[in-house]
Amino acid sequence: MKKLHLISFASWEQRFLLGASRACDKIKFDAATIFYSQKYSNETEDNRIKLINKLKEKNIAYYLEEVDFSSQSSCWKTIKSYFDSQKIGKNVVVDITTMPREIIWYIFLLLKQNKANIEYIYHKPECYGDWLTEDTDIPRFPLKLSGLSDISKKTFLIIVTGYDYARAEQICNYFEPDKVCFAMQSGKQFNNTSLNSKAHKTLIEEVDALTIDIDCYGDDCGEKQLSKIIEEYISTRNLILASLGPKQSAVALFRLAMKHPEIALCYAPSKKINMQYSFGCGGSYRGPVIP
Amino acid sequence: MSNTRNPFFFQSASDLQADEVIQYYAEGGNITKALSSRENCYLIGERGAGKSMALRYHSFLVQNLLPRDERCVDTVGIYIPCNHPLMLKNEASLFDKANEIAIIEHFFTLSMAYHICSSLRDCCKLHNEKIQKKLLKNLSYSLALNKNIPFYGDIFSSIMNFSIHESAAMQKELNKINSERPKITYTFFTLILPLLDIARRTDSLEKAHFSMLFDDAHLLSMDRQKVLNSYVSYRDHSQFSFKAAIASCEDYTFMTTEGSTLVAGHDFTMLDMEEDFQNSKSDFGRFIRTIISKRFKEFNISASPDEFFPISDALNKGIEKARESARIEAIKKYGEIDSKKINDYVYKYGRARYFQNRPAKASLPQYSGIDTIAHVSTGVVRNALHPCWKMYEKELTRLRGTIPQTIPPNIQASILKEESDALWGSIRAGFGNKIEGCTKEDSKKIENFFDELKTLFRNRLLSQCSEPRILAFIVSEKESEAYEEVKRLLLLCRKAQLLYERFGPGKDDGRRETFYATNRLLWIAVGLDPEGQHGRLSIKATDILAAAIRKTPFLSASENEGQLNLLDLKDWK
Repeated sequence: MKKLHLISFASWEQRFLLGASRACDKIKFDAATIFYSQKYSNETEDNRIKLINKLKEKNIAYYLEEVDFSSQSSCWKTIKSYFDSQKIGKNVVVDITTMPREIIWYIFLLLKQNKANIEYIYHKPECYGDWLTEDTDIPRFPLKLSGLSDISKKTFLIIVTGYDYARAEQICNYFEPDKVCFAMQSGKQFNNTSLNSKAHKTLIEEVDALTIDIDCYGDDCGEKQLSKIIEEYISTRNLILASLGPKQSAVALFRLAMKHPEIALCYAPSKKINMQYSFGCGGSYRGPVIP
Repeated sequence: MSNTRNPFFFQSASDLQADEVIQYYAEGGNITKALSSRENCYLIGERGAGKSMALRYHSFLVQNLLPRDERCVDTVGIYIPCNHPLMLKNEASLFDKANEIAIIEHFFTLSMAYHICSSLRDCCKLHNEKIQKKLLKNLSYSLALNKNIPFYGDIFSSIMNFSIHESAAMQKELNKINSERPKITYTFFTLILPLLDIARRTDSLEKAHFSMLFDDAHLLSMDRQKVLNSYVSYRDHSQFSFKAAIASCEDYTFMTTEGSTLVAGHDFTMLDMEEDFQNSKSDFGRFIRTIISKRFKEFNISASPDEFFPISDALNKGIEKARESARIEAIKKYGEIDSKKINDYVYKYGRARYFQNRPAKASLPQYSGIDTIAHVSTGVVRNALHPCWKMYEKELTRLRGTIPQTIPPNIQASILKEESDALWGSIRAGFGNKIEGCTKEDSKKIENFFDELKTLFRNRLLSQCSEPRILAFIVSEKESEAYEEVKRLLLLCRKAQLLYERFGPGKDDGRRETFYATNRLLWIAVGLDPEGQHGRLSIKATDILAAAIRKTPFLSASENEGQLNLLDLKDWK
């Protein structure tokens, strides 16, 4: 039986613990790595301890690794150094549920370099809090995933939108792209129609954006719908892709960045996250990172 | 909004074609003087002030399309956008500082080389192919390349391709998980200076002065800003100079990579894009009319801006009646002979009487007219074009696609109210996810501050105080503990474009002082006069903080009289 390694990112959210526990009950892991943010180490301590107890109960070896997320270069170096020094194994399940997107991408990239078979797992919440994040930091390209920018080409920004149109607006204002496309999650889950589609209506008009529908909860995490528009513009524009919507869109963006190294991924960090970000743990999604 | 059926579309200037820049650019202030000089210059202006448009208009590519006698610069302007993804990559930060700076400069240099060549390629002819190849070979030698830069038809195209190829090669290396530090990087001195020498061999550029026009330089990382500043610090400006557009001085460091600091007046001059329109000599209303008239020409609209945006009869008559009423008051006070005092009185109180005499339950004035639009924009071009765009769209819909010849005052008023409400809405919603460094608590403080400011301005307008229509303020008590926090909050307000920082003559010993002009669009929804007055209120830092944190009201208008830092008309330049 193949050895399976779980990688997760600690959070105070209920679904971090509930989801990881559920996964441990259903999947036979041999080892687990729990990354956690230095900034939120107090807030995540309780859940970390509980998860460790669960891992012990299941005889799963575990490793803890603190990440200083305030500095992009130290974040990358910490994660890279961890993967350089530890034998992770060839079969890895990355729990992206509460993992910042930039870290998702770093882990995928480093595991891919180690030729691991990577799966993702994602646990939906039962509901979200009344606000999610605030105190936005400047958008940035993740290290090693900033693409190959051509001086002669203009910029085309593709944003998988979420519930926070202000962040989408901020990214548009920052890059001032020649063209913008909003990839909008379809469906009525979590008040999606009003929080997503309607909220972005003014911004779509203002920046004259293209819009496409996307289903990040599908098997391909929305990759196919994004592919179409990427293939249309990749030869004539510098493409920047941002994931502000469902977390699985980060998987789709990573796949696209691997297929098209010219693509730059974009991350919009927030300095403050709601302690009541989400409640409960709903359904889970699991699939290969690179099919 | 890039809808080309609407004459008020506003697009990022960097997206316009060169001929469109010529079509839509309107000269204002001392911009040409600054951009055609051989001195380094920083252009300062918030988003929408017209910085990019000014840089692009004064670039060689655009100027070269103009007839020779209409060209306004004799420098060769090379436009370089700093918000290009190549300028925003961070892989260099994984190396030690020296290598990081070398990589940053490498990308800067390649970007400059590309833009120099793309600007000159179609306009300037070099000698025969043999000479061009020789020059390319010399350049390759000076860059210590293993092989010569490939020749692609002409030397400028060759260097453009070289720049693209080299930047891609460096990016590929840096994107590797275990990238190595670069062995060779290019600098301003190894690539750009030889390139400028090559450019001077063309017939028309023998004695050319090259002006590098960096747009949105505030978006660069601090290290990149320092690299740019190091170029600015270079003493010899005879052959090249640097102009950089930044949003504000707070967003930009003036330090160099060597650790020194650039000095205004010595290393560079500064041009505040908005300042020029804030005094009585220059007139933003005239500038906006010029911009709109140019656009109307392209869209075959024959009406003038005043005809297109007529002021409401009721508003016009109401204000005239109020002025007349103020004139009568003044005559009673000063007698008929002292016309200067009468005119000053009418200026100070005429319009105010209109707002003061309106019944308490009256609906909002029908804000309309091109002057109102100009005032509401608070000196930022985009702030004028945006509501005009919406007005045009609304009227176009109402007329079912027939081109409007005028925008009725009621449409103007409803759009201005809508926009004002939206701006207050954004204050209520908070800026935590729009502005870097703005927490939820900060958003609340900003909301409180503007609520109290609204009350203060409204009370002043309805009172008998001197200069009742003031909409700007300075912060006093600069030595207080509260001042640093107030400065931080006001910076966030500026980033949200609720306030604009301006510089003007101070009351004491005429030194220039910083003051804050509020975004006048805010005052439409609360029924104030967006025209404002030239004076500015002095508000203590402690009072601002108290208002922000505890919603403590500012002093009433009459109590505030002693605090006024007014400019008499005669002091106003």
